[in-house]
Amino acid sequence: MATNTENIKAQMRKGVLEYCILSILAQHDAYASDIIAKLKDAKLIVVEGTLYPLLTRLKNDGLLGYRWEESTSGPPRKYYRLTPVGQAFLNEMNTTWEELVHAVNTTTGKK
Amino acid sequence: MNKTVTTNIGGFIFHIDDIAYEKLSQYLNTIKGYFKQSEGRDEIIGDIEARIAEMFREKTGNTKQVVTLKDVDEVITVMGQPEAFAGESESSGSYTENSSSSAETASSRKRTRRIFRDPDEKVLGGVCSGISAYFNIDPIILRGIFAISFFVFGSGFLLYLILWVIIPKARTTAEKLEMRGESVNVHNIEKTIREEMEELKQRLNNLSGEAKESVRKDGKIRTGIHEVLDFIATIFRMLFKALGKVIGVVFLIAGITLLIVVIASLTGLPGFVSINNHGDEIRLTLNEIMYTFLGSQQLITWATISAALIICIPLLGMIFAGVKLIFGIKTRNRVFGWISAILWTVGLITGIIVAVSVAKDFKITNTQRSNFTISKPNENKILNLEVSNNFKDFEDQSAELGEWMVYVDENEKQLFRLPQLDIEKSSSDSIELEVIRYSRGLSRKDAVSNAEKVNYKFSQNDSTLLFDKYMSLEKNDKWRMQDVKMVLRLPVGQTIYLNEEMRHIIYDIGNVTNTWDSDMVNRRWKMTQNGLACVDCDNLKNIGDEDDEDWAPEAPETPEEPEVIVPPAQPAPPAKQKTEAAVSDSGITREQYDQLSKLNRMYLELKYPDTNLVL
Repeated sequence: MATNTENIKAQMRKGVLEYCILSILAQHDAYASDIIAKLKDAKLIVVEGTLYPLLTRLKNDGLLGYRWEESTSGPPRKYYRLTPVGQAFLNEMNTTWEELVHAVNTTTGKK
Repeated sequence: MNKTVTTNIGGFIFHIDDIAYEKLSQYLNTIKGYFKQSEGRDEIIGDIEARIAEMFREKTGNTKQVVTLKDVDEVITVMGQPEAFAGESESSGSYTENSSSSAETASSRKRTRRIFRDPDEKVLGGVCSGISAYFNIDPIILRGIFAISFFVFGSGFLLYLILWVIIPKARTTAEKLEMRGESVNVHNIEKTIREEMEELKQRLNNLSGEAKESVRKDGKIRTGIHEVLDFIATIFRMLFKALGKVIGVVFLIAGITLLIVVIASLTGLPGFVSINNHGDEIRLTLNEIMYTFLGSQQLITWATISAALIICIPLLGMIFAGVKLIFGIKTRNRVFGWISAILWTVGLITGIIVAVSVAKDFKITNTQRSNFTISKPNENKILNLEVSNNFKDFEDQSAELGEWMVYVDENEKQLFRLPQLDIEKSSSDSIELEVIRYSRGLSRKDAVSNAEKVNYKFSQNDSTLLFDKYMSLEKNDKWRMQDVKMVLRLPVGQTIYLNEEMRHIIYDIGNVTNTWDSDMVNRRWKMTQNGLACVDCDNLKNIGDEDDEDWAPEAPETPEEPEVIVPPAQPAPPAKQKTEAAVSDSGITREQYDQLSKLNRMYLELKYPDTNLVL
């Protein structure tokens, strides 16, 4: 039972995570560490490792693009940005999210 | 003081403590293991390494040049354990609503146990400990079994090597965890099957639901068909999985058994059994059998190597496939495939070379005839034909190999066999014996010398002609299709007596009554114009000749004899015709003939009460 609850929580977090990443990038281009910092503030993720596979996948799906930028403190950094496809996807997600929030609020009676 | 290692992370050079390096490389390997199936694996690893490099750069500087274990630990804490984040990319892999099914695959991957070699618990290659972990047993049991089987013609050793090659090593922590996953026992297998059935049922339900839906929603039909195909595929996958395991077990057992037999034969275990007259087993090794063909030890060695390669490699492949099917290992080791293909070809070529070089020895056939005049016996005019057993002492200790007998003693091997004797009518007035020796050889000269080396003797002592029972090759001579055939030519009027033992060597001797060879012995035979005729067959014990209704005697000179009168009911047209001819010749009426045949029948019934006469 406990594992099931954990599982649902993890699923919920995962669904939201991508939405959040896209939202962060919609504001401005960002380096992985910047994204992580924001996500950590929001307590969405705890470890950085989580992000890399996600970013790679989103990029492969055509939602994200990146450019290299020289760094003073190490290897060149990848700065991610939202592609037009990503922007469209994010818009769709925004609608879905609002619908979801409405649905949850209605059913849980939190309004 | 610590040893440091220089390493390249994300394109930057770092000096890193030995222990820290171990930990870091293990960590990275674990990550690699987790992203094995992900398409962007290299990119993910690259990003992570770049980030790690960045963090190390922050931690090191002029005052601190070396990356320490503490740094590595901190980096790992920041990045997180792969178990914690690897799942993200897997389960969020599909945007479709049924994320539950992807979660299920993730959890089922964790559940099923995979086989690996265990590098931490190894004695040799970690095969035993790996298999033990798979079946959840104490590795000492398997080790014991393998240790014992090492001595069964090294079969265990071979099997161990095969397993070593096919079972992958557990390199990463993830793989080590998988190796020790939930144990494979009956309960869990049952559970897995039940879950799969459940899933199947679920899909079936979804299917019918979606079928209805697809009518309403446009464009959903494609997914419906997709679901159907998926469903069928799942059923087949389940069936094949079960079938594969069964086939795997069969392959493994058959392969190992055959391999043991082949290795045992090739390494000289006497595996070829022949039963002699006393019911004792005479055993020959493959080496000894090959010797009779090949003759030289060098050729035998090559033939053995060739046979080993040609037979063992497919058997090893079979065991290979069996293990792969049982444990569901998917790795394809191309190198070993190529090596075994090359070795097999080498074996085949060697075999062909040996076969050709041996076949050359059979190229020329030599037939050597020699004629001997046998002096006619003086007084009673009967020539006794007898056999003396020149291999009396060896006969019982020799193994039969087709028509040949092989006697093996220490390092000596000798081949011998029965010759064949035919008896014909002589064109002259004297008794003649022709001895024909056959052999094959590389050249005419070789064939002649092979034929000359065949030992066969006969001797005459007054009225007795004594034949050797066996013809033999010289000791250690090889088989080149040597043979001895004899023809004894008798002038008309000469009587011979065939001794009991003659049955061994007489072969298809023509005679007027078409009597079988085995029935000809212990009797006197006289050469007539038409061939050999029995002189003392009146008191014939067996009626082997008469009850065979297919053929009638070739020249019925005396039709009055009961043996020759065939009743009319007998379905043998040629015989009947002859009888009728005899009837008209002797001028008797039909009634008389019928009466005669009745009498004949009574006579035969009285004479042979036990025989079922077809009249």
